[in-house]
Amino acid sequence: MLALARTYLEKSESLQLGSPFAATRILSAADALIRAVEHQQHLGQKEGPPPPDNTEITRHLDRVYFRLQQADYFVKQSGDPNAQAIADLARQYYQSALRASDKGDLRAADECAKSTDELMRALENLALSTAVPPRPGPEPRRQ
Amino acid sequence: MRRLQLQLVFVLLAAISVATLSAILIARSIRGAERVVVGDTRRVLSAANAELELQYSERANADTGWAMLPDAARDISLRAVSQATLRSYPGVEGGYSVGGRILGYSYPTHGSGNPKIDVPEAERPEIERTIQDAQKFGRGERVLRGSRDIVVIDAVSQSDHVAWTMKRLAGITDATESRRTFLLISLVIAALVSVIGTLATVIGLRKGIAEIQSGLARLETDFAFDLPVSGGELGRISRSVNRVADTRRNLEAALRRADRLGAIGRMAASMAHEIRNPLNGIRLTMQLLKQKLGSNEIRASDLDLVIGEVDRLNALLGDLLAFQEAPKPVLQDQQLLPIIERCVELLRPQAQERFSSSRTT
Repeated sequence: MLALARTYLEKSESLQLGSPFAATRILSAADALIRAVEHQQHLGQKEGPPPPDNTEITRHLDRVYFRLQQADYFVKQSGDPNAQAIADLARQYYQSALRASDKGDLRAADECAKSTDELMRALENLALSTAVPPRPGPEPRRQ
Repeated sequence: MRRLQLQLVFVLLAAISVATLSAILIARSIRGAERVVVGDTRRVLSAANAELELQYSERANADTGWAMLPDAARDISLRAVSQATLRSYPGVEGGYSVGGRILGYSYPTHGSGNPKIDVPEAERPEIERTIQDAQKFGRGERVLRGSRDIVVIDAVSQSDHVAWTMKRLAGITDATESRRTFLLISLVIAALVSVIGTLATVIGLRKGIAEIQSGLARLETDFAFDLPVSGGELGRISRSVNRVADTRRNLEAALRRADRLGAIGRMAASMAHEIRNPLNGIRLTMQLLKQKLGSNEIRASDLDLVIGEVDRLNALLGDLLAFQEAPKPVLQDQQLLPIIERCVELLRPQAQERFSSSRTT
């Protein structure tokens, strides 16, 4: 996932001049991928902030589930060859979050749900990068 | 007859009333069913709009920079939201209006495999009007009745956006219109047929009953008359009346024959009685003459008695031959003494014979 993030960082840099809007979206996608990795890294750390309560976790999982319903559209819209792999990974994290929630492991459930959220953000930004921004207006006349 | 007419008029009025009421009830029930379907659709659209609105808020709040994105990008983002939301509402399409532009339209249950993402051009003006109503009044609603379907549009406005949805009730108008037309035409035809049928029955009954009435009146004076026989129930009645009249004619003929035979019998008995009296007189005279034959006491008057009785027999036979013209009794004054003397002369031989025989014994 970090290698993928690096690829998107490089792609973003290459697009900075030609298509700054797409470059920004791809940069955001790379950022989301890195955050998803960070949330998984939190699971390995013994210390950290306390997880939200069960009610909040359940509500978060509901939101994540709704976001996952958008994955296929984002994959199709982005046209990115790696988008489907990101969507599959997001679904795996969601399943992990559900299992952790069932076991009462609220911290793992919270981190996996956040990773799913970030992966969906990455997918959305990849899809948004295909949007054609409006052309800038004519430059004001020099007097 | 008059009572039958009243009953038929009542039946006719009842048939017309039932047909009219049925037409009204069917039209009302069809309209009622349409109202129910449209009402249900409104509730579904209202729920879908509420969820769309909620998801919009969640999406906007999740990323503060999202609201600053260009419309083309927000269109993609909102389409993902509307697709995920409206997937739970079969047949419902919709999206958002942000800053006067329709964004995030989708129709996830379109059924063509891929979700439809183009706003339907035919309904776009009405969608935009509904959105404007929602921006003015907080909520907008349209029910479009097309030639083939009914389209219900619902929109709800929030501070910076409008969530709108639309559903086509395909086939409802078509089926309703055609069914209504079919039912109404059927009812009109049924009513006309029943009215014409009832009128034909009334006319036929009146004519048939009038014929039977005049025929029965003629039968009272003309026993040989037969009622004209038509088809149907009245024809059967005419045939029955003719059978009764025929039976009556046969009975009367039999009675006449029996009466004639009785008259002949009575006449024969009368004749035998009438003939026997002179024959007795002749026989007694002839017996007396036989007795007198030996003593040579025969008088001419003795023979006159026999001749008189023979003449009486001859007159009797003459009367019999003239039976066809029954003679009227001619009443005239007569001398009673000659009649008594004649009776005495007739009975004398019988009396003498009886007297002599009693003396002998």
